[in-house]
Amino acid sequence: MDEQIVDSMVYRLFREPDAFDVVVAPNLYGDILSDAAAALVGSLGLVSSVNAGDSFFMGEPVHGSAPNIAGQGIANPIASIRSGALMLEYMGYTEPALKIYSAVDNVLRKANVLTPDLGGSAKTADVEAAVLLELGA
Amino acid sequence: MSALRSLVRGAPLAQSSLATRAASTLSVGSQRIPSARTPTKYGGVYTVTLIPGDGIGKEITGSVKEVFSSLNVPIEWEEYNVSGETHGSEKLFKEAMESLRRNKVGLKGSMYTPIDASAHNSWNVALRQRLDIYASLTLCKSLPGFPTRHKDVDIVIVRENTEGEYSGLEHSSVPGVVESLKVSTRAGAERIARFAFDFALKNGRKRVVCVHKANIMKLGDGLFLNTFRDVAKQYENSGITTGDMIVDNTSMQLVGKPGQFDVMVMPNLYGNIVTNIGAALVGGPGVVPGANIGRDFALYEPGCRHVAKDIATQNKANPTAMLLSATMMLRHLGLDTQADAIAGAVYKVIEEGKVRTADVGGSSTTSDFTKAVLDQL
Repeated sequence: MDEQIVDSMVYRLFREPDAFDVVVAPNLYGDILSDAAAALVGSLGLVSSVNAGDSFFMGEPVHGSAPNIAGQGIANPIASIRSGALMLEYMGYTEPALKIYSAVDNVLRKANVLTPDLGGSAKTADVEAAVLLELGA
Repeated sequence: MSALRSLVRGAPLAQSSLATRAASTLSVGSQRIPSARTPTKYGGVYTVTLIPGDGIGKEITGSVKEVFSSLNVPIEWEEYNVSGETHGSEKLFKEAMESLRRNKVGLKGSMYTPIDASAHNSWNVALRQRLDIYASLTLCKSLPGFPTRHKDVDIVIVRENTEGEYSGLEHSSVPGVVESLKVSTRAGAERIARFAFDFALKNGRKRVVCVHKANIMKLGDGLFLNTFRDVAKQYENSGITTGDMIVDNTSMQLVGKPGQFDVMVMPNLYGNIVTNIGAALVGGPGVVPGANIGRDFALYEPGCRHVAKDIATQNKANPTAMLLSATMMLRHLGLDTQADAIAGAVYKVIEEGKVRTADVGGSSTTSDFTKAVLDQL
C-alpha cells in the first residue's frame, strides 16, 4: 500500500503506468485520473467502469456521448459491453461476466474487426456480431 | 496590473514591451512578461534572493550558481536555506520573504510541506499568497534531441497562484466530516485571464483555452469561466482564438493529443495537476522551467515543483529545469545575451544526448551535466 500526492501521481501515471495496480482517490482527483489513465490504453472506446453502491450497481463506459460521431454507426461498443459485464459481475453473475470479457478479448486479439478509433474500419454492428460469434462459439 | 516604471540607479532596464518572440526559437528559455518590475541594481550588479529549498534544491541551484559565475553574470545572491523539514525555520522564512520584498526578483526550489495537519502550511504557497505573486507560468516544450511519446509539444500553462482550492480554509464541524472552502474571486479570475492573453499577445501565441469544472462547480468555476469569457471579448480583434475545456477531458486530451494545446489558463488546483501532465509529456519535472509573476515580484522556479527527497544529495538530480528557469530570470533582468548563451548551451547538451541524468534515461550526475553546459559556453 502506498500514497501519492495527486500531482506526482499524474506524472508517474503517464511515465510508468505499469507501476500501478489499484488506485483509490477522492472524487475530483478520481475524475481527472480516470480520464488521463483511459487515454493511455489506446482508445476511450475500450474503457469501462461501474458505479457501485451497497445495493445498486450502474455500469458506465468512461467515454462521453461523442456527439461528433453520433448516428454514424461507427462508435466502439466495447466500453459499453464491458461496462455491462462489470455490472453483472458486481451483481454476482460472475460466469456470464467472465464469458463476455473473454469474448471481447478474443475479438481484440484477432484484431480484424476494429472500429475507426482503434484504426480499423468496422461498424458498431460488426463488432457486436463478432462478440456474439465468440460467445456462441 | 499597472506598469511600474521608476528609474533605477544605473542603466534603464532593456525591456521592450513590443517585442514578440516566436515560440519556436531556441531562446525559449523565457518569454516577455507583461509588466515592469524594477529589480534592485547597484553598481551594475543585480541582487537576487535565492531559496534553494529542500531535497535536490541545493544541488540544482548550485548548478545555476556555478554556471552564472563562470559567465560572470552580474548577479549577487542573497541566499536563505529555508527548510520545511526542520523546526524553527519560520524566522528564516520571514527573512527570506523580506529579502524578496527588497530585491523583487528571486530563484527558488521547493520547500518540503509535511502532510500532518498540525504542521505548518506550505511555505511555497505562503510566499506566493503573501507577495501576491498571482500567475504561475510553466513552459512544457518538447526538447530537441530528446524524443518522447509525443512530438512537438509546446504548451504554456498559466495557473492562478493565490486562491481557489489553496485558500487553506478548512474546518470540521462534526468529527469525521470536513468542509473545505474553495475561494474564487472575480478579481483573481480577471487578472489571471488578462495575464494569459497579454502573454499570448507578447509571445506570438495563437490560442488561449480555459480549463475548468464549471459543470459541477457552477458558481466557483462558473465565475472563473465567465470572467475568462468576458476578458476574451476584449481581445477579440487580436487574432487569438479562445476556447474552454472541462478538466477531466483536458487530462485525457493532453495524454492523447497534446499538440492541440497552446496557452492554457486555469484555477490553482487544476494548474497543479495539468502542469504535471505537461511535464510528463516532455520528459519530467527535471526539464520544465517556470516562473511566478506578480505585480511587484518575480520568483523563478522549475515549472513542476517537487522536492524529490528520494534522490537528494546523490548528485542525480537534473538541473535543466532550474537552469532554464534561471535564464527566464536573466531575461526579466534584461540580461538577454547571457540568457541566450546559457539556454543555448543547455539545449545543445540535451540535443547531443551524451550527458543525460537518470530521470531522462541516462546515468550522468548533476555535476556531469553542469560541466557539459560549462564546456559548451
